[in-house]
Amino acid sequence: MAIPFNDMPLRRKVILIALVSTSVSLLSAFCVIILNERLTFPKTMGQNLSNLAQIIGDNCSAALSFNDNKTAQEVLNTLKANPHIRKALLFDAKRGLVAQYPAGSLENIKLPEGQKEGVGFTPDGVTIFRFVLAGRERLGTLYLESDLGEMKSRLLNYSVMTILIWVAAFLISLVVASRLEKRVTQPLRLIVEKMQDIARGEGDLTKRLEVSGEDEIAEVAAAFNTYVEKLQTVDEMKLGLISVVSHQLKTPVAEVNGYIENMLEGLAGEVTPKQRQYLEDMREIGKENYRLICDLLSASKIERGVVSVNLNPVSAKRLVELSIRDYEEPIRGKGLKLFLRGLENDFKVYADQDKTVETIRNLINNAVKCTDHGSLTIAIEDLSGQGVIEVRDTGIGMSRETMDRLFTKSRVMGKEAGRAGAGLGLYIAKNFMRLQKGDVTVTSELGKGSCFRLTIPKVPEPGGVKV
Amino acid sequence: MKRQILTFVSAFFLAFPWVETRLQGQEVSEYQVKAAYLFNFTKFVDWPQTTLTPEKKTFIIGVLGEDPFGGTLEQAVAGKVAKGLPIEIRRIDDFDPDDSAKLTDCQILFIAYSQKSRLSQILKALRKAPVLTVSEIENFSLAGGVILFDQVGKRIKLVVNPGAARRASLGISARLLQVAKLYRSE
Repeated sequence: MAIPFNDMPLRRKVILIALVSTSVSLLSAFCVIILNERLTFPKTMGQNLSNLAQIIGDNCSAALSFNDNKTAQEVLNTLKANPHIRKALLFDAKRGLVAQYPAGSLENIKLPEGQKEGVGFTPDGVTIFRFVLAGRERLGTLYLESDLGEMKSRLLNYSVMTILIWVAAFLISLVVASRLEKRVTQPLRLIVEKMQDIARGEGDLTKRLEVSGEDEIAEVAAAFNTYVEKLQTVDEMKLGLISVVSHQLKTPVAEVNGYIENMLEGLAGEVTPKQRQYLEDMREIGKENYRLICDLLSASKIERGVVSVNLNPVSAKRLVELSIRDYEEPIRGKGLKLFLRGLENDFKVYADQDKTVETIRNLINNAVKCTDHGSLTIAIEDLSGQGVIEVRDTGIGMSRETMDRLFTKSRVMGKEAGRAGAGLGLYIAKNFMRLQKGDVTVTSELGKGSCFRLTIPKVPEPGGVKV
Repeated sequence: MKRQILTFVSAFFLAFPWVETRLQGQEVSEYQVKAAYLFNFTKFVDWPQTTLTPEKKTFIIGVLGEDPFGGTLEQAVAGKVAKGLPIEIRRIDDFDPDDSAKLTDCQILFIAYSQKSRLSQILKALRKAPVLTVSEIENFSLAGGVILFDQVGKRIKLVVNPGAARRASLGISARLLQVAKLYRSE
């Protein structure tokens, strides 16, 4: 049940600290009061009893002077008003008992000879002997005995008051602490939220936290901003590096590919069947390399925000035909069926032809890679206002977890980038489509295949007549 | 038989003189008490400042008429002071209407039983003088005396006439009134 202090939420910590400090201060105040009371009470009580004895004694002086025991008894009876007085005895000058409280038949006692005035303390009470004087003449002696009830009731009062104050302080500190807690944790929570936003794949490194005030929270925000700034610099350096390296690689790789092509065409003399097989493998690897370099370039352009799109009305059918051109052979080579659907109902979309074709080719490339049996279906569909191009396969599919991260940057520049191909392509696809005010989405089931769906804004047709 | 013995024994004791002495001793005791009371009045009564001037040397307690105290009054006040003054006992044998100053010099004046017949004259002479008049004459309060020793059985009760005290400009302490019976004229 008890949570260690370190693991508590800040809110509880603040409240707990407030409560503990109020409790401790109240308790110590209570202890000081009780201690003070303990120390001063006997003195106070002796003083009070002495004052009472003085008054009672004075009131008895005439009764003692004129032997009026009845009046003396009446005076002692007034002690009833003080419930803490247990006993009172009045002796005359000859030390004989003349009145007693509580009233009753007089006890057969005499005041000890030479009894002095003074206060005495017993474990459960206070006693006093006091002379009754008239001028310098001693008329008699009064004895009073009080219990400690007064002290007890005062201690009880203090305890009750302390508890009441504690309860009030508890409630007040609860309110104050929860208010205070909000002022402390609200900015923290805001910072945590923004940090998480930046930390997640979608995080934008150009974003900064708002720094207000000069407290520790502001310091955290400022430090975080500095950190993000550095990250941004590193990121930019990385993108620059990728861009430069890709550019430097692109031309040689293209050249090598050209030579391979030339050799396959026999421009460099007779090619033996064995040599042809090697050359064909090299051509495949070279193409893959070239594609990877192109993807890296595109991705770094997207990252640096230097991609521009050139939107024109384009036929959807033409987009599919341009995309499929280089893949018909690999598809057939893998023994897959290719279905083209909806091409008879062509329509026009606003798109950047090159980028859209690159996107569709990326999707087809992935589909071919991921599918060993079954078919590939490419379909176009005319939804009101939107053109849809679908690439569906019957391949390995993917888990929900994979889908969630499919289009994110972490796949591009993160650990998974090493796998090349698929990851980069989808990131580029997503960004290219968004730049064209379209989108790419995926539905998939592990082991049953995937379906990628491009949406592109359609060119409005007057009267809805189809071309 | 038993009763006879008791009667005999009683008669025997009554016949002896020391029994007489014992009774007498009680009587002496009564005046001892009254003497003490006379002194005690000084603690509970305030005289006007015009009476107890700084020039005054003694506090005078007068006994008018046949003195019943014997020496007990002297014993009662021996070594004591009243209102800061030594106490002087002054005996005045008889009332002299032409010399009332003798009476008004006193602060306390005990009027003995022998003066019963002249009581009203005496009180008239003392009228308004700041003298605390004390007596054991039964109609003392009615006559306008301030404090009466009233014998009730063995006990001596005080009867105070507040009107008379006021006329004499005497302040009587509430504590004294507490133990006294108050006489209300008219």
